[in-house]
Amino acid sequence: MTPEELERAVHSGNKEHCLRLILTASEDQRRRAAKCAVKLLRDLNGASFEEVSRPNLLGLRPAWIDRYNSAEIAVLGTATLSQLKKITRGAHLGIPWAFEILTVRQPDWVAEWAEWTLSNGIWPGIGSDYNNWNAVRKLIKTGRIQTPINDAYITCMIAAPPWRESVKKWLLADPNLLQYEVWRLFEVEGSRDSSLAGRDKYSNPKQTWSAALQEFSAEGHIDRGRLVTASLDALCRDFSAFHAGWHSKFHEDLKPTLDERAENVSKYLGLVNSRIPATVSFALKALTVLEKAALLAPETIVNAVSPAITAREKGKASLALRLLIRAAGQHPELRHRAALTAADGLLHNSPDVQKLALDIIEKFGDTGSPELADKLRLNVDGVAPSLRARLAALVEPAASALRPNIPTVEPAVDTLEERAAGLVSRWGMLAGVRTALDSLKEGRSPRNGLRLDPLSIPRLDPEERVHPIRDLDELVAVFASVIENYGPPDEIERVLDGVSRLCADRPPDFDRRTSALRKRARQLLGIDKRDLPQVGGAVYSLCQLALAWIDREPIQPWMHQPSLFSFFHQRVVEIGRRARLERAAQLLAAPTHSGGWIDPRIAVARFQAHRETNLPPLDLEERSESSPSLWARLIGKPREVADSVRALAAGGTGDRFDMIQALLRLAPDGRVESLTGAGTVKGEIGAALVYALGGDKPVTGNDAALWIAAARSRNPHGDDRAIESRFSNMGPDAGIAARVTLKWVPRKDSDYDEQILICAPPVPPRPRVDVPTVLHHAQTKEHFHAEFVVGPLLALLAQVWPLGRSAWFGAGAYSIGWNMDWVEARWGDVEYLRLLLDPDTDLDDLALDMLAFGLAAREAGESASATDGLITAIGDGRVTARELRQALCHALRVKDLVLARWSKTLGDAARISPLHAVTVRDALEEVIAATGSRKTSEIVALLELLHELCVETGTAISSRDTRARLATITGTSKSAKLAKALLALKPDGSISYTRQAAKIAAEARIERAERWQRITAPE
Amino acid sequence: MALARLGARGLVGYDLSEGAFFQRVLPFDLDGVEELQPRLKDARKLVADGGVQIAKSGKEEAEAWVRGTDCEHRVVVASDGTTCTCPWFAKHPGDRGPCKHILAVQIFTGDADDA
Repeated sequence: MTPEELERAVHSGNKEHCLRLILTASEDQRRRAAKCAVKLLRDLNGASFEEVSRPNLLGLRPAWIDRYNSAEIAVLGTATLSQLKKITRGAHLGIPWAFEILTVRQPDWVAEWAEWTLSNGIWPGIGSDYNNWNAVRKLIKTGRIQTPINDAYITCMIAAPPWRESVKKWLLADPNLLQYEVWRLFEVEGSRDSSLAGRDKYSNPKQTWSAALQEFSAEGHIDRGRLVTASLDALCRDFSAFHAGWHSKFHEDLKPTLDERAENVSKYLGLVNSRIPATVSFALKALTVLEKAALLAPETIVNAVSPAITAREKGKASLALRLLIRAAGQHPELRHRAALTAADGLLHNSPDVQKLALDIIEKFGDTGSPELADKLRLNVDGVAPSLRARLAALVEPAASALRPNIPTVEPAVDTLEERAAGLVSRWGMLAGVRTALDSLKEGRSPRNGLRLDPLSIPRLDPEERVHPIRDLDELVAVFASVIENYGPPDEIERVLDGVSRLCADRPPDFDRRTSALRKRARQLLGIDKRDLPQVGGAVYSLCQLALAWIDREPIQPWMHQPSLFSFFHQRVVEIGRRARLERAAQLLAAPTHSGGWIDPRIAVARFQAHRETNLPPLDLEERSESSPSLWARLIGKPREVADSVRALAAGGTGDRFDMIQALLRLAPDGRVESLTGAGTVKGEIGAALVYALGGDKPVTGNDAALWIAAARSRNPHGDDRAIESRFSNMGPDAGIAARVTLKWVPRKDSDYDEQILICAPPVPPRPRVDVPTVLHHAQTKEHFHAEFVVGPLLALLAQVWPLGRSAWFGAGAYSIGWNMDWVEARWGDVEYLRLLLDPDTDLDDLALDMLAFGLAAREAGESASATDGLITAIGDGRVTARELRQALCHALRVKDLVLARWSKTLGDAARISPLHAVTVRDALEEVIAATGSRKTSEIVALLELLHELCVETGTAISSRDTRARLATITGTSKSAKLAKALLALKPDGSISYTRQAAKIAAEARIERAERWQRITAPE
Repeated sequence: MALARLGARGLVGYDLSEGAFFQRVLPFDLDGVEELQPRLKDARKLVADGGVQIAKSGKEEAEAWVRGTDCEHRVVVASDGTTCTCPWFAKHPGDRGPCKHILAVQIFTGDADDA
């Protein structure tokens, strides 16, 4: 076999021929062909998507996959282990042929190869072989290697049985596995790709590992007692919750007898300390069984359950407390210790757990004991309001009539009036200070949340200035940081501006100074390995920009449907083109302040100094090292994509996207003062700039994108008839402001409703890439979704049009709303919720919808961000009980919204301050009235929260509708008891709590006005 | 608090089955410790292979070039901290200790604690 023969065999795609050549060659011949084989495989790895997916038409060119498989055989059959280790996915080459090839080659590194290939895990290749476990097993059975002792051997074995085939049948074909390997299953956790839990979850229940082991046990092939113990040992091994779940379920599926459980009592007791909640519950249930059968010493229970009582999960803590009740009830000598242990339950978040703990203390505790009294005293303020009086009575019987936690200090209104008097009237009025102070005099908080006109709010906080990059070394450092960390957005903008301004600064050691950045960009783009890019989104664009600047490589336009990301990418293309030609220029769109804002005075100065770059049109034939020519890439693309790219290639001065972006980022501050200067800027751009700043210049010229950007900057949420009549039917937020509504329509295939986001006017079928305001609404179209899954990109794109938040809230409400149960891992969606944290962002109906859905989200990050958003918005006055009630009642229409999640998030928000407690309480009272279509079991947690908040604030249920709704909840259920308790509440006559809340609300509004006054004060 | 600190340093463990803390006797064989510090090992290799070149050495600031694969990394030692142009430093600027290039410069100039 010569290297040329092997190359021909690979090119022919004939796997059998290739294998025959390898098997019949000498080792010397194989080694001589190794270099050629590795090169062939690398070339095939670097094939374009079009090449990979091209079928073998008329037999003219063998399919890529056949040539690739042939190359795999060639490499495995010729390379050394060290060569294999250097190849991408080298551990998984030629899986179906590995045993045959290595048996013939007999390299001395075969044992090392076996450990290495298995430790690389599974690879979802073509066909049924996901790893080399079968090949390794054959090598063991034929005596060529020893059984590997690493965990990967077992992890890969779990994935080795073919799908749709019984694991039992597979094990019976190799019964020796029952001697050693099967027991190792209980010692090895498995990996993300291969584990007992993962495998069995997606298998036919009769064909799983669990079923196989149970059947072998029942048939006497393996020791049942050992299985019972091994599964408990596995639970002691600190596996993750998902993996541990398999073992606890398997243990219970074995149905251990009382004797078997009694033999393992020490293991169950140990598992009560597990960090995995499900394992603790499992252990507590097993201990309960033993306790009921009198096989567990009561003092053992008292010692063991303490950690479970303080666990976060309510069920676990309740189970532990019930075990305590039984133990203390039967053994009087343990009562005091049981009460002491139960006192830890008073720290629990759940009022039910606290109540259970208090029951035990009242029933069994000796409150005369200083130890118990100290513990109880510490917890008086921490327990649920409804239990405070009971606990206080235990600690200090004389204090039982008092309601703890009532603020006793009357708010000092005069001081607030003095501060308000020092405010500039404009800021005081915009912040609603007078309304808040008048409300305070009436002893209540303001009824309506603050609405903020985006054009009236100052945005240029001197402390939030973005400082331009100073020199080449800083540019290299910041550039390296943003491509590693995907941002933050302000830093990405500094990099874009830095490249634009400093691209002509090429000192003699430029190559040396930029060599690390150059190498990293090539690495991330997969250029050196001829591989696919390792990064997406903004970092993909930025890596190309780095190479355009350093190596003068061309950046090509985004070859997909126009989207907000393609607008960003096109800006990068423009900057890259100038950087290649070393035509340095100040970037018009570089933010002067954090959040994407540009000071209009600075913007005018930039436009005045701006000179058109006049770059030549894009060369469609030009190709770079990393990609073929633009023409070649356009083949097969949808017509609208091809048209868009050709239009971009043909026209423009080289900084048109920069101008459009600059107009959209103009801050509201100082617009009027900037108009005079703007009038001196010549041409169509000058007229558009004046228009954007609110001037009277008529709409002239033909550049639709420029004028639409100016119009949206001038009046973000209003219709612009002049623009619409000149550039009509361009889509939402072009001439006509978008009207976005979220609706629910019945699904045909289920009882639930489907959410739809309706945009008027609709997004055109071919939105233009240079009109980003329209592209904000492209998310309503299916194929635009993908890019918004990435959080950092979403945060970056939110700076394209900082005045236009409504579109983001619509997209956020839609995206979070349909995914409240986390059916799809959309980690980026949390970025929508973070927009709520800006105290100067107006919260419209869509923002409130998004907030309500976020509060009911299953994913902890989303619900926590929504809670933070609510806390901020209540604290700064944007949300009052009215807005919160509106949001929650609107979201109630979504039938699959889990109301119990609201009780957790609203409860967390209510704990922040009296203002938060009063706001949540008042909103919740109204929300309960609107829950008529829900089962009472669904609202029990909300009733519980409302009850606690009513007790806390000393108020009763006053709404007639709510009282009527509560009256319908009858029976003996928990919800019925809570409804009865709520109806029985009487106001305690004190108004200090609500006054305290009102004072906090007024203070927050004054602070807001003072902040605006500070940032607008002349320096 | 003391147990938490010792636990964070790996000197104390918690036995789940016993429900108690126990002392973890760590290998104090210094050779073994260095094996577990790949950055330190790599830094020593860089110095041994002549991969460090001091470009500027002043009172306020020093600059060095450290050889990488197909590139060079610029390490700047200044009064407000030390920086490097490598991806590792860009990803974890100082929050996971110095990169191998900074360590190499420290060893080269004799600034490293263990040099």
